[in-house]
Amino acid sequence: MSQSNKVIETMTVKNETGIHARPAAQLVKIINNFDCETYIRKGDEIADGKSIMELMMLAVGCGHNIEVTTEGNEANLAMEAIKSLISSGFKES
Amino acid sequence: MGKEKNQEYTLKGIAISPGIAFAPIHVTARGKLIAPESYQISEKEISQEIKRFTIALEKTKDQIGELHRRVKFFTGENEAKIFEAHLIILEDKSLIKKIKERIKKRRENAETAFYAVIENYLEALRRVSDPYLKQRTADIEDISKRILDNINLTEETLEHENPDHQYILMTYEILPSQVASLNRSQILAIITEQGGDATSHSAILSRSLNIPAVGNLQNDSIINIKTLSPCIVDGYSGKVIINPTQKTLLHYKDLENQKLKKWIDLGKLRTSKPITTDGIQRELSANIEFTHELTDVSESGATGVGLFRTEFLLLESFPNEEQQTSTYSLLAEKCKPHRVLIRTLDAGGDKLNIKKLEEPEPNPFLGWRGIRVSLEEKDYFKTQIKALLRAGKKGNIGITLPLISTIEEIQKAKQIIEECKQDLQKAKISFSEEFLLGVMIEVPAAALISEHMAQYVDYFSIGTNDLIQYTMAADRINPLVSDIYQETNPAVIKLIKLTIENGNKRGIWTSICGEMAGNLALTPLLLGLGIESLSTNTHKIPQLKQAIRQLSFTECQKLAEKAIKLETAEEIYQISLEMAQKAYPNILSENL
Repeated sequence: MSQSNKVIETMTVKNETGIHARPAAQLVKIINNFDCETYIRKGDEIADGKSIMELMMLAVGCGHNIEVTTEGNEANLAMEAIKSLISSGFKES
Repeated sequence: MGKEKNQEYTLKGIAISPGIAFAPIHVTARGKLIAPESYQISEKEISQEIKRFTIALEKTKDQIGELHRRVKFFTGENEAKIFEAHLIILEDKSLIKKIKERIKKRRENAETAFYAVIENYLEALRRVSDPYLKQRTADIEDISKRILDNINLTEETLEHENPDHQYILMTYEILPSQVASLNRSQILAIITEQGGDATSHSAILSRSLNIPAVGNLQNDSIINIKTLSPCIVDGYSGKVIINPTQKTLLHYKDLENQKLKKWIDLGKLRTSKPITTDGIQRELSANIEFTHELTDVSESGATGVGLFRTEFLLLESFPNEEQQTSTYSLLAEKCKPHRVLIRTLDAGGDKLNIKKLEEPEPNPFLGWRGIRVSLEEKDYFKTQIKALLRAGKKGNIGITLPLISTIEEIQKAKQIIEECKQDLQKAKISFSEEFLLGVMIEVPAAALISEHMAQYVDYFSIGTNDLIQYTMAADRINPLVSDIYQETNPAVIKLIKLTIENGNKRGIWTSICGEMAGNLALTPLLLGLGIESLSTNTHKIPQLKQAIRQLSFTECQKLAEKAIKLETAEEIYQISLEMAQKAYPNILSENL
């Protein structure tokens, strides 16, 4: 793997229903748009941001903190997009 | 696997829509995810097994894509979103990789590998304490059932998505939009594992389409049912008989004939009038939402249409003014010399193709729906009003405004109607000035100020379903509070009485078009309260007519006076029921 950008940020999930199927689908859709690897960690568990099943398995509820890592050419862009989706409480764009 | 083939057995459910149907069954979605048959495969079979899995995956994607398209079309973008999530699950690389690996390493058949991987996920989710996330297992189960069915499909090729023969549809749950789009000539009855509420929109629709339906079956029994099993659906008692014996078959054929004969006898009533023993005549009209139901209207002996719902007409394809004019004209023409009362669009704002609602309303039933949407989204409303005015030339049309709660709403609507007239005049398009204008009384506020409202309109139409829901503040489909949804609660009866009286004062008539109108136990009470018109499903009309013909108006009035002084819903229901039982025990026993 080439030595490219790596960004790590922690954020709080604020929407009432947490990351269930629909929000997880939104997240995957956004992450797929970027040329980078994305991992989401809650506690000890890590999910591949491109896998909806793994994201759902994290069982992120309202008020939980997650740590997002993006790594690759578009790591910064991806992080911005993820942040804006999560801070908006998964509003449709 | 259930090997005692062809043995007769009966499933008990709840009767949703009356009628008897005989046909092979077609199962489209199973209730529970069950472990598939497990077996070892050989090294050579690995690639074939993986292929079976990927074919099933592709097929499932196609199906979900189609569902997504259909639900978006019929129900709306929001409801369709869940299928987007399903599609993303189907494309989850890490999930797919795990399953393929399992097939390779453990030499498991595709079904088993798939089931095992999915179950691992589900188990983890079930342990989550957050109720929102816990619920989401349903989505994964739903999609997994489809995939499992599709893997099996390549072997058995039994469960076609659309069989080309007549059949009985057995499914998990059915949405109103799905009922509406069913092919009536092919689907003879509906069995749903869930949905035991006879007042749900799906149930109302299946009755209006005359499709026998049974709901709320037990989970455990449905999973053993094989597609193409011979089946009888008894929509009168809520029974489903699988693999019926010759004897059972004959019994039901007999029953069907009896019911048919009764229907014909009642059909003879068609030309007689709904008139009480002491000579008071009332009007019986039909609730419909499709033009093909017009035949049923005339066959039932109804005098016209008391409620034509336009949601299905409008929301399916948003027909333009010309198309709407032709539908309404057909209605007007066929109902002549009787009236057809057409309710303008009564839907939530989210059902329209407009950008306004970025997110779902927190409380849609107290939100932006009915007339509230029409007055804001004037273009949609004006198209409908113009079409109605134009169709007025072909017969007697009434325009019914839904969910009215204030006088201003009526004034605004009238203003828009005036604008429509001017537009039509300018465009030199002919229309009729001879139409009636009415309002739905469904909000307690409207009932309470009905005296004022009566000055602006030609009739009242009481929508009891909403009136009860709003008066009692109880959702009838929420089992936790549905016992508070009381048709005969004194509060509801008082509002109905007040509306009728205020109408009378101003010389306008009142009709009831909710479920309550078709409840034969309540006919004495409603007549006694002075209701002039009852509008209900066509299949109820002959019985309702016969009931009215057995009742004395004076007795009913006395009953209503007594009822209004009672304290509970149960007491009021009982005294009306008693009179009904005395007057027409035979018809009643079939309907309760």
